[in-house]
Amino acid sequence: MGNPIKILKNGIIDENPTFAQVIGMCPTLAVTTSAINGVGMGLSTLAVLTCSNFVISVIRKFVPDEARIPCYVVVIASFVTIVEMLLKAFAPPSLVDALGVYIPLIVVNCLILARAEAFAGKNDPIDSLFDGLGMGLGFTLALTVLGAVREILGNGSVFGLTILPEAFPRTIVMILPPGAFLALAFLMVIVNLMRGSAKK
Amino acid sequence: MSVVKTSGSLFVIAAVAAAALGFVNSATEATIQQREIETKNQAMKDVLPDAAKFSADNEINEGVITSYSEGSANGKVVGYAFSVETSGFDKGLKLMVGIDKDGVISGVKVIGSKETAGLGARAEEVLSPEFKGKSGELTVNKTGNAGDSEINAITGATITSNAVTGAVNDVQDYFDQNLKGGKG
Repeated sequence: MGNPIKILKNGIIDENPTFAQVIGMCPTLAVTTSAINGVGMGLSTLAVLTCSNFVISVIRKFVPDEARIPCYVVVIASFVTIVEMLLKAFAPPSLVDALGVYIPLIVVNCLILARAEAFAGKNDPIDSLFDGLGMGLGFTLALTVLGAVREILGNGSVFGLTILPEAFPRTIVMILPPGAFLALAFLMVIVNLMRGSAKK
Repeated sequence: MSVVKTSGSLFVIAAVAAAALGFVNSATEATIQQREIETKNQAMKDVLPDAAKFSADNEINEGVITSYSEGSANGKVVGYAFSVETSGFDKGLKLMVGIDKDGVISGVKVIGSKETAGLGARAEEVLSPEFKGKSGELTVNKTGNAGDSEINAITGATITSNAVTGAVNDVQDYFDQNLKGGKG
């Protein structure tokens, strides 16, 4: 068994899914119009990723190599459906509406299948659990920051609370689709500059 | 042999997954339905505050209007609450529109939307108060000082404003043709 702290840090910082691996871009760009949407999508992905990583790791010796992808997809799709049902039953309706079509899309989020292939299929269940947690947290963090930046610039608020004075101009394009690319590009530059200077 | 093993293992996994899904579904189904009904009842009360009781839904599916419910108080009809689903910047813009028995709009509420956060998503907060007490064919005004039969648009969200106003007009047309004067 590996060191859980190291595995967590690997997912959150060293191999952050968004800033370092640049995978799972579809939900990253599409749902981050506000900070709360980023948190919601991040946590839903975190839940699915952690559960699927654990289960896939448990069944990895039972699953024949040729059939592993369909087996993984069944496991992932089941967890996504479960998360969707739980959200509909217990999460605030506005969040369910906002995440809407993106929840089923977690199934095809390459982040989940990538971790199943690259990590859970080769490591023991506890390590895989921590890998799912770390990657999920890294993803949540990235989506929340991206959502917050776009919400502040585009709407003058964060988590629904107005923080910029009325006189400050709102840059509406930041909450429209092009703003997702702009904000992500600048965040990536900042994060990678910090990472670069930390290495030296 | 290997085919049997491959498909067999997939079968076992799919069976376990199906059982788990069935279990979660049975555990959440009632809550989900309950929540949908509560949300709808609350919305009907909000758009038609005079009504004490609402009839069961009349499915009509005419244009953007999906159904309507008759609201009454003390045995008399006081108005109607219409469920509407239209398209703004994105599809799935769901509204509840209340019209009293004289044809005056008593309230408009956004139940669900995928409109842009900060723009179209503000329809509830910006547009809803605009409609209250108005009647007749309404148009969208973008200058910010709307007259009696005009609705102030949300800045930067003309499409959403047009969609909501258009839907309210459709509801009024339906009311005039089918329900006015207690015909319904």
